[in-house]
Amino acid sequence: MSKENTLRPRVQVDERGCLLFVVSHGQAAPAAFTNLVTCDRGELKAAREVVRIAGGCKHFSQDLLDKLIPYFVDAFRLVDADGKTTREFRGTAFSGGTANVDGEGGLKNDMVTNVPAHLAAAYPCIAMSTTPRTGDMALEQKHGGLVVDLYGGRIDFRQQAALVYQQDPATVLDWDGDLALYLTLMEGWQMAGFKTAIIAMNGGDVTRDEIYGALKRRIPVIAVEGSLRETDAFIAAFRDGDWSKTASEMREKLAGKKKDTKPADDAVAAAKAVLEKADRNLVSIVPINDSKALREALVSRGFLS
Amino acid sequence: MSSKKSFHDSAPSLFIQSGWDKSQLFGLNASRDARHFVLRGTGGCALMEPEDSVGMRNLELALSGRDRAGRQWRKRKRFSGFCLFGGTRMVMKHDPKIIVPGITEVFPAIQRFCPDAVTLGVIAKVGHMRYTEHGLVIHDEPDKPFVTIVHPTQTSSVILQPSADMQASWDDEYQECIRICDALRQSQWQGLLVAYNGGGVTEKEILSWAKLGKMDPFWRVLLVRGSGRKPDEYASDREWLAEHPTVHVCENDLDDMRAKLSELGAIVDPEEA
Repeated sequence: MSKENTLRPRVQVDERGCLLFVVSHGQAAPAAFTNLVTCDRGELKAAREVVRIAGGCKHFSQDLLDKLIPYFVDAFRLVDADGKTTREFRGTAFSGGTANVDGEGGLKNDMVTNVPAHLAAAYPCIAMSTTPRTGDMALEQKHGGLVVDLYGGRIDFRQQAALVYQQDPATVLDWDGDLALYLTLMEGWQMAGFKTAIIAMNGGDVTRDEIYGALKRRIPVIAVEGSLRETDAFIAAFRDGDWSKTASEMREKLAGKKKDTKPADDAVAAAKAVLEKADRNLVSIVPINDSKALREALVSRGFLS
Repeated sequence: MSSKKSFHDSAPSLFIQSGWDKSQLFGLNASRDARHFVLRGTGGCALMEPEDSVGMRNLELALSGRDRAGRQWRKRKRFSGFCLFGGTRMVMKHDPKIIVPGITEVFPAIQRFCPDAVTLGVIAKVGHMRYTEHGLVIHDEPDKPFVTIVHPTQTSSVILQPSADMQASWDDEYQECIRICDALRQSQWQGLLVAYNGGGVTEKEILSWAKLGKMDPFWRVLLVRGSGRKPDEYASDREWLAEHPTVHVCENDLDDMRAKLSELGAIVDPEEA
């Protein structure tokens, strides 16, 4: 068995493994899932902090991919002058919850959605996820993992809890299908007194919607500069008023198929409308691979307290 | 952006659930920073006799760690956790400043003495709503001298309606509370139903909790004997009490109430909160 399959969370919620919930449109996420953010981490009291890690890793060099997990793990702790850990993350790391697999059935660590599982293995925190059901699910024949899309993507079982969201048992959702649900959860936790934030890195259309959707709900966004695609496009728009990169992939795809590019124009217009009214203090920009900067951004937002 | 506080900043949040739709945001109130104890308070409202309403103050004082003179003792046990109640207030039509006593006044009244309490109103839309300068009216009967409004003092509330134009029934409140409590039970919370006075609807709720209590000790009930009507009836039924071991009884007396609430874990030392 691959070493990665043996990664385990430090805080055990259920001895059987990762809790799994299936919720259909119109149903609320159950308290057994949402209240995990409050469960104590062994003898340590839970920190009232929830961070959503959003985006992707497309076009990343192998070097960047190799540094992805260490970058996040290092950022989610406080250190002294000698680099010794003085405070570990005790909150909740929340993501899209899926993982790719290698030829032996082991989970790979090449997606931002794998970050929470690694944080949960390193620190007394909770890793949980929401995932839209975009295809009929299957149980993989050799290892039994839950396959949640048509490309073989699995639920990252190294988390403490995962929620699969569907339209109904017969109907699938699109890749942005869980967006309203998870943003509502973030908003609700914020209303209940939690510190919340979204860390956006790379990412396409869905990540763009996540960034602007978060700002619309007054959820802070920490954007990782140099991570390419829609996160860099957001930074250019936010900092420099340059909207040329926003929805550029969508535009290219549509143009390549000789289709009307109006949807891309609409996406830009919608993003502009949100940014016009958004509180600019909700945005932090940090350079990629600078875990110290990410840590400082988290601390400035009340995390790691 | 201005950080100056506005009149609405500390106002309770209000959500509306239609049909089977469940408010995620109302449900997330359970993530607030409070002890995982849910106290469901129910009982008499409009039909309570004046002599029975006087004793409600005992419950209010017991929950808020106050003495008979209304003074709070800093080290005295008090309620901490989540309180689910009917979320409404009855006010007189001819003078809305006059409040009609009801069980739903107890829990908002303890809020300022219990900083670790979260009060959540579950309100059945039993009439067409009207908004007035004196509050959101959710029920009005022409032959009654009062109207029912959404209580202005609570952390958050949810209004239940079958649909935009249809009215809920009084039963919907307790049924939704049972559903909420069941979800919290599954997350290993503690629970307690306190019944003070009350008629047919309160009876249904008492019986539901008592029956559930035979399967799971989460479903505990505290009947206040001497509060009138259905709690008195069941508090005096020894055979029924013997058959329902999670049902407890206290007298309508401050000391007895305080002792029982403490025994059942509803009130705790402030440090424990």
